[in-house]
Amino acid sequence: MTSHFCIDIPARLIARIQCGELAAFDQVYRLFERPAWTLALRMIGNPEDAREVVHDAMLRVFDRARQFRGDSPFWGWVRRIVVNEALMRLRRDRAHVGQAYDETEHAHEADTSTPAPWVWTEARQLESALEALPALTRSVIWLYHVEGHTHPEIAEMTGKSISFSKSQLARGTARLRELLGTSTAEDPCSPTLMATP
Amino acid sequence: MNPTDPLATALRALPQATPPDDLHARLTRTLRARRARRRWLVPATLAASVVLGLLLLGQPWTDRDPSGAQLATTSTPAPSANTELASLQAYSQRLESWLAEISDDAPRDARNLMATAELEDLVGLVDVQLSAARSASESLPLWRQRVALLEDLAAVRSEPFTLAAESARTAAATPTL
Repeated sequence: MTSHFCIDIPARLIARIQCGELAAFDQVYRLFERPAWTLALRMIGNPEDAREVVHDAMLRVFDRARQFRGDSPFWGWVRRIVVNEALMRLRRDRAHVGQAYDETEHAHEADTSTPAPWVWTEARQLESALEALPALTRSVIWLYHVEGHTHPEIAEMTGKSISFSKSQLARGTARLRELLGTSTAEDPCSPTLMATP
Repeated sequence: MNPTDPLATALRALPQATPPDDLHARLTRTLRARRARRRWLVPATLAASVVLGLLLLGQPWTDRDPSGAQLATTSTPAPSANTELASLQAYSQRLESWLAEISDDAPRDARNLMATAELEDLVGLVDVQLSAARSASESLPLWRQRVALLEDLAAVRSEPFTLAAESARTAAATPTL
């Protein structure tokens, strides 16, 4: 299964958007609204900010449609704009202190003797555990595992190093394992993990 | 990325989130409002440009020959006008450099994007008029207009979330003539 963004848009529809046709943009917006919202929400973690991210990103898609040259899929271009908007908001929001784990600390050695908890965990629990991670760490995990970006790509997008991307993935994964392992082994109905907004 | 990683599989299997109902409506409102505003703004600007052009044509230019054709060698506005023109061009260049530096890094909301797009359109219109200007005297008022628009653009760009407020702070942060 690939990213939910992988939606092919006919060249003729793109050309109409490039001519400023609102009806054409509306069609494309409806196709990308859900994946854009999901991506923004997963990265930001806050519905109010995610709303601003999607709104501003989609306006940017419309405004910059003429800059799309067609040398890569349109959906990838749209997704990049959404990711950039989300990262910009994370960078700007000073309230997000501790958005990522300390790069210099190493992740705990994962216990690989038992199956990873996400093999059997429920979607709702996994979502809650994700929300418990720092925003940038969660973004790295999402961009890597779901959107299929490489560490160099994530480093370039976040303005950080490749080792930063790798360390966030490792530490975030270890933390997810801890959260879900604790939750499933000790108390499957842990209020911390079940409380989703 | 390892597509067979169980974590990747689990994350990809998560259901997509449901966007809020008003997300689409809000974007549509923003785009329509922007379009409606442009609908009257551009013709109004063009009309103003025509009036300005007529006023300029009515001036008794000293640097044209009797046939009306421009003689580049005789295009000699007053020294003070020349000085002002050079100053305006230099200031305009500084403003543009400054705008280029801050261009896309600052996040902007819909109103800010709208104002930016409109001001950029107006600068573009002035540039069209400047390209048609036949003498330094004709171009001087256009350069003044261009600089004023760039100053407005700088104010809008330097304060992404408020369009009009804090003009004093903006003035301090932007280049001065």
